[in-house]
Amino acid sequence: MSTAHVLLGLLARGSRHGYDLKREHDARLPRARPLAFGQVYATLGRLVRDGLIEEAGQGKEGGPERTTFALTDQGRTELDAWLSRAEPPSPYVQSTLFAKVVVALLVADDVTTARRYLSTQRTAHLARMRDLTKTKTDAGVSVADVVAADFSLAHLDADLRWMQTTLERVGRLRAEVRR
Amino acid sequence: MSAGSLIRLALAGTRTDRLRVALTAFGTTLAVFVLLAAATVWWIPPTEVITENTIDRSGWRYTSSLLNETVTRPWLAAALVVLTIPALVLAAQSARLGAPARDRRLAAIRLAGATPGQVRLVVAAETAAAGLAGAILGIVGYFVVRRVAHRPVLADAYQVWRGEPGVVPRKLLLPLPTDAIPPSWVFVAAAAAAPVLAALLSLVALRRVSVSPLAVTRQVPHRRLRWWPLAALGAGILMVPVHLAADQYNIGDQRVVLPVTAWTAILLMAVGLALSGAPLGQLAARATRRAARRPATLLAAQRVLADPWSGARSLAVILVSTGIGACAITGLAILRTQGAAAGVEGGTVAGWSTESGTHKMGLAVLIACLVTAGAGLLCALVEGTLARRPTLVTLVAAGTPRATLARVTALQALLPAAPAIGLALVVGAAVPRLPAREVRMYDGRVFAIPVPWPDLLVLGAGAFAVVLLAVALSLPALRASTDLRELRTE
Amino acid sequence: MTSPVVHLANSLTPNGPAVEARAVAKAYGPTPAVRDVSMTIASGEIVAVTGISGSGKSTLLHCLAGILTPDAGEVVYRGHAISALGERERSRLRRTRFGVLFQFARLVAELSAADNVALPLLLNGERRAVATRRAHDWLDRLGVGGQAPSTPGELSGGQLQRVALARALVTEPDVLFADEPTGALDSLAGEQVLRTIVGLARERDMTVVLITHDATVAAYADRDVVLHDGAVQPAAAVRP
Repeated sequence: MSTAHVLLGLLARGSRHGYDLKREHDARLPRARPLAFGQVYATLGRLVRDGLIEEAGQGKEGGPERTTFALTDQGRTELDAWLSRAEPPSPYVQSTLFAKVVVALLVADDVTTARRYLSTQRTAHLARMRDLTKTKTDAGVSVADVVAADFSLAHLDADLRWMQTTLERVGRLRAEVRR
Repeated sequence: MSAGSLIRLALAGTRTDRLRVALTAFGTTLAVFVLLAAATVWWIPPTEVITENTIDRSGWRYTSSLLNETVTRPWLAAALVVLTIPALVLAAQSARLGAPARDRRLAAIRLAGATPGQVRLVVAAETAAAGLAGAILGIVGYFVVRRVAHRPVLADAYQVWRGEPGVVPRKLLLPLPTDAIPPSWVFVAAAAAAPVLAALLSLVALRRVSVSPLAVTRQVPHRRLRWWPLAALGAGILMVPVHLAADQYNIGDQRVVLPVTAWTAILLMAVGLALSGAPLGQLAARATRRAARRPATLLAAQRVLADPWSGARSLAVILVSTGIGACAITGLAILRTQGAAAGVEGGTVAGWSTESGTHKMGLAVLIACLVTAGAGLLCALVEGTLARRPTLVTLVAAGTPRATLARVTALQALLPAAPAIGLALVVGAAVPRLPAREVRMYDGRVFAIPVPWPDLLVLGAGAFAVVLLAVALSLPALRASTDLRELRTE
Repeated sequence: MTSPVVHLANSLTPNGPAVEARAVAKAYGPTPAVRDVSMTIASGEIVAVTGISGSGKSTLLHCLAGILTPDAGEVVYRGHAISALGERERSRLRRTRFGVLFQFARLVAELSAADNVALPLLLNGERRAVATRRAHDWLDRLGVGGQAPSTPGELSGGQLQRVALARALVTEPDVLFADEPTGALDSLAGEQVLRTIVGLARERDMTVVLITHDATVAAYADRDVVLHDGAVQPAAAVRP
């Protein structure tokens, strides 16, 4: 789960305190495990070190929860790159898919980014499914391999179904996310 | 379920459903019309005054002696009643049109919660409505024909009685009994009975599967050959010499033995001949299947084997009509020979009239039977095509030419019809000749009774033509069923 | 007098694309099912046409297989425009060069499985004995040889579909068109059918056009074309 990129996405709408970032993350991604404060601050620290965000202002005292953070240009580029590339398809990628769609809707003015991401991800998923299917039909493949391949295929298929329906719903989702 | 929704459900349906209702109504119209004609003949006011020694024929007022003679009228009425059978067969056959789709619709209604009784009500309502409409049309048609056919003609043109002393012919004669009318209760009875009968018929024809919520049927690959029609026919033919022997050798109580043997023979032969289409079709199909080289022949043969009884009722009417026609033709040949032997040309021989008026009526009845049966056969063929629509469309999509499918329809009808019509001709031509093949006069002259080949062949060709015409008229249904745009709805 | 299809056979280009659609459009009454679809299917390729129901996949397949004539555009088979041919020629093409497989087998209920499979050969003028033998061969190869004398009513869904596949393949077609061939089957039976199709396609260099809305089925193809609302969706580039 790419927490760093989600935080980048949340900052794309404007600067925020560390505390607000944690709250917003949990609110927007309800099914994900709630972020521990420690993890948030560690991630923020790393992002600052990498130059993707910067401290934009100080609260009364120091401490990350009161510090305001803002997205840098480099951070913006990294965020766009993350939104436009596909996650390597494997069984446990589901939650990242959802996170990316939400962030894409937050970041862009319209649904194009989200739609394009879903299409890209779909193509990557299908390519992986094709490879897995080929290994299933290879000569000399063991039943264990087939069973393992079926497992991946079933989950990838589930992802694809979700992506298909979400593509249909993305307009309404955007309206909700932007509120 | 309210009456309103019942009626709406009964009236809902596709083009096929409407066609079915229309044909059922038409069949009922014909049946009612014919029944009213029979009733009219029955209720003709007396034309003769019969005393011990003489028959006063001054009341004769029709052109045909069949109508004039008091003896023949009941037989004519009976013949007309018999004519209702083809009409009822047409109505029954058309009730099966579009049955699979209708059964699915009924199953859907059942799944939505209707009881089997309510489903039966829907079906009965539809057929009863059709029956009532048909009956009313029949009554209206009767009156129209009555008005139109009332055309008196001058008596001199018709010399229906020759050499009869003391006859005072009237000046004006009627071709049809348009001056007679049955009492009004007959009309009411016909109008009431038709819907009831139609509804009962449809309920009987409604199989159990139609009222179950899952309209599933399984195909039976092969029906076992049912030989009994041919056995019955054989038994009936064998009865004839028994009857003749009983007559000649005065066996038993003649008043009982003679009618019993005669009627047994006639009924066995009629039933056997009528239903011989199925076993003969199966035999023909088995033979052709083995030798089939073209796919159309193979398909037709298998179809007949899988369902030898399709269209059997209509074919039965055709066969019985052909058989009776052949009998009549042979009978006429016998009478003419007897007349030639006695030196009489036409006229009345041995109490049986042979003049053209009777001929025409008999011919008209025969043609009416054949045509109505042809319509029933058409219904059966169309129903079969419609029921097979998914398979047919798939075949055409995979590259089967429609011409092949048309050939299959034709062969499927001809495989049972051809041998059976032949059999009907042979039986009908042979049975009247069983008593004697020649006329022997007391002075030793012998007149051989010729086999009236030309007339028999015309009759056979006519029966064939009816079958082929039914096939030809069913082809548009084939074209509609194989419309490739229907592929996507499956 | 040789038929146009014979001319066609003599002038077909063996190399080059097998089937092409050029700006094909087809409507049912006022509703357009396929709008301006162009695609090229190379010889020996296995292509999956995917999309949700109502996206026009079946209609497109019917146009490509010569079952329907498009309202606009043309369908080209090995260099020849088949959409301009008459119904009889297209029927013959479907019988000799194409194999068609549908979701529901729809075999002739009165014929045995072997006779059903032999039917296309008989229609092409093959002798009865030869046709029956080849039918049995194909049924054996697809694992339903024991069901050869049974009628369709006695077979399970998986067996029916394999018999239908045998019927589609018995004429050794150049292109196999399959419309949701595994739609009515459970996943194992479906997998078996798909494996057979793919294996045979590779072995005989047969082109396959496969319609499905199931991604696990589409994964058996070399590539997929997505239809949405009657038009081809452009494939998104996969960036690493």
